[in-house]
Amino acid sequence: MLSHFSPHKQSGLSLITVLLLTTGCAILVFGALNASLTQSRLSGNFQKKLNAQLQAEQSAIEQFHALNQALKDNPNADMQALAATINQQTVSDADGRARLAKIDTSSLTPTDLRLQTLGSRFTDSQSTQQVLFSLRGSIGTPALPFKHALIGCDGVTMSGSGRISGFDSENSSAQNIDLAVHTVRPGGSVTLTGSAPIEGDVLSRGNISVKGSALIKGRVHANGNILLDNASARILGEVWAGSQLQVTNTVIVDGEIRANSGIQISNGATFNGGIFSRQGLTITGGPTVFGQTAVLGNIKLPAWVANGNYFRDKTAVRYSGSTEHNFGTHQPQLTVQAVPLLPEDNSLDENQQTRKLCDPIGLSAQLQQLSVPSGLTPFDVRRSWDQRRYQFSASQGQYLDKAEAKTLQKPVSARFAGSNRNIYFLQRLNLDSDAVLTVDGAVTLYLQQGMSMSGAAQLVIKPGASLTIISAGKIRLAAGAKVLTAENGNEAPQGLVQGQPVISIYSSYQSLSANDYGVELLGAASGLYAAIYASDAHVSITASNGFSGAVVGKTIGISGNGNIRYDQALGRIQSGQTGTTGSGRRIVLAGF
Amino acid sequence: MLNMTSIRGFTLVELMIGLVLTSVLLLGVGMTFASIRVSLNNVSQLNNAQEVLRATQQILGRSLRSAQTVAVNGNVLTVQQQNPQNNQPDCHGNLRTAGAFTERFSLQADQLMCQVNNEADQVMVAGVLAVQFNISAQLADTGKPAAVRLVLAPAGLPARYPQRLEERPALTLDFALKTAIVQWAT
Repeated sequence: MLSHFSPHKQSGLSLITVLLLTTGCAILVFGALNASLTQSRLSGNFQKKLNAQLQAEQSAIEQFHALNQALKDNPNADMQALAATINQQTVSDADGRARLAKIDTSSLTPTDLRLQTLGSRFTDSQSTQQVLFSLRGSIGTPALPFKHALIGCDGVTMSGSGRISGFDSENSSAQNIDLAVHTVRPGGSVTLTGSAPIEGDVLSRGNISVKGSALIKGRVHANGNILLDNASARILGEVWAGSQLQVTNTVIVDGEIRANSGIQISNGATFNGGIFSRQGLTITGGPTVFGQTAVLGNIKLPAWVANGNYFRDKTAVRYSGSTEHNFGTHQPQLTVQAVPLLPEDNSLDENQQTRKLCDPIGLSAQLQQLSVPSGLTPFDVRRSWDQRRYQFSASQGQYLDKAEAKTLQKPVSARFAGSNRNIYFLQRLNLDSDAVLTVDGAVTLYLQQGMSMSGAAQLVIKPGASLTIISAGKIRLAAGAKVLTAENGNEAPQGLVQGQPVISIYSSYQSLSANDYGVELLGAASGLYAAIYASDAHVSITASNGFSGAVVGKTIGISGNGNIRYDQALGRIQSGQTGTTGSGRRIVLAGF
Repeated sequence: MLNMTSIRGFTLVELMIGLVLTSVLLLGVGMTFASIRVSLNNVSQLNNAQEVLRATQQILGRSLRSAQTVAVNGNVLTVQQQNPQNNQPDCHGNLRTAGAFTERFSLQADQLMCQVNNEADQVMVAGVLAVQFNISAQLADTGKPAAVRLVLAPAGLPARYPQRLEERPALTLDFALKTAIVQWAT
């Protein structure tokens, strides 16, 4: 018997001690495990948060690129329009990444756009990021290439007898059409030899010669000399010469005549608005003068004029120098206002820096930016008697009479004059014989070496369609060719179609000699309506059937008996940007 | 009657065996306990180091993300904030409503401090033994900082950690100056 050491009497001190120690260990270990688990969760959550944060930032950068692309596509867009391009839908992928951009519309200003971008990675983490984008740079002043009726940078010659008048195709009741004939560069002169009435101003940085029996309803204003030499010419406005004014015929001027370098009158002209000269007045004929006469310097005139009734109010004649035959009143302190000189190469518009008259859109620079495909081939519309009717639509060009012909043309998207458009690139376009080219839709043709129409060829612009021709070569529409801008040919031209002229011709051709015409319209058109822009090319219009639109040319020569009608609606067409102001626009990330 | 054979003690050999077994058991458990305590201590220290890293990453990441430019001088980092919206929080957590401000991060007595403009320093993170700031990338043409590299020695990192700063185990964190980079790119 084990009375003392029976099992229930042994205490097992070692075992208890070990048990206690083990228990202590376990408690410590569990505690530490718990702390580690917490840390692991904290770290895991932190990583998720980081991932979500990266998604939110990714969204901000994506919107940033989208905004800049939208601005590139439309350099004139305002912040409102740019904000409208932002995709506010959730973008997600299979790996659990999701991001979303929201516009804070309450804080949308013309320069600032605030976005809230939300990012998440899996469903249990989210991050929000505030982003501020700013629109830098200013909108360029849009160029108005057809603001004036006729702009001959180096000169305008009019020898026709058709009326030069204006209308507004978008507002038939428009009054006071701003119809002006301009020359731009110094020395660019206007010569009017025909009998064409002009219902507007004639403005020249060089000289003006009125040799035809024209009726000019506006002002005749030259920085150089003015010659009035026609018995039946009549000018309803003022005649202002920056240099000399010479009157050699019996012209009638209803406004004042004013010159900075002297006035010579050698015939019996009529001046209803007085005579103002800053450098003497020489009269050898017998003019009829109403109103004031003020002359700085001397007055020279024969006795029979001084004593006759030619100056109807002799008391109103004043001079500061000397006179003959005791004529007029001597006023040594007399002042005569000078003729203001027309600003060279800039119009009198409010923004002289940007609204150039001659080449306001910078055509050659625009064409340099145009990426022209290489290996262009010429295109003769008429192939045979049964393959001669071709049609360009907005998306493709094909033969109408031989649809199976493989001469399909496809346009290429390119940027011109401030807008993206689909352009057909061709080397040359020839329409001869009985070829018919139809335009259906808004069509733009780039013609590397120009275009010619001859024979009885027809160019038909369907109602609602418009044709823009960008040419680096010559454009010649010979006499027999017809351009039909209305469905049945002889009706009034359509004018503007969706903000585009029915036909616009942009030519970068550089004329080398006087008869080297870049754009030549030889009476082709029945009521041709076109906006012609060829600031480096001579433009010749023989308007036997009338011409409507506007012309910018290096020189403009107009002959024929057809009427020239300027469409004031063209003056509102904006084309691209001028200067560098527009291109400086960009979206910047102002801050997270 | 006393039966001598019924009361038997342990022999010396038995006692010795018992003693040895008990000693081995106690020694084993005791050593295990000690090593567990060391491990737990390490875990706790690592946890601290992690906290330091997370906090540092968060504070500096937020600040440098919106930074216009930074300047580095030894273990002092100066961050220029443009504050375009006039509602940017600074490192103290205050909304700045009056334009640009400067945050200056520095190490003082194992604490990463932040000073806004000329206001008083405030503790951002404790348990930082050493820091070193570097400009780790620059913008191509302007040469302005594009990224900041921070080498950080948090308290509690195991001594055998490979990277070292001032003889202490350390870690590297890289921060991109995202605003400055995107602004440069435009």
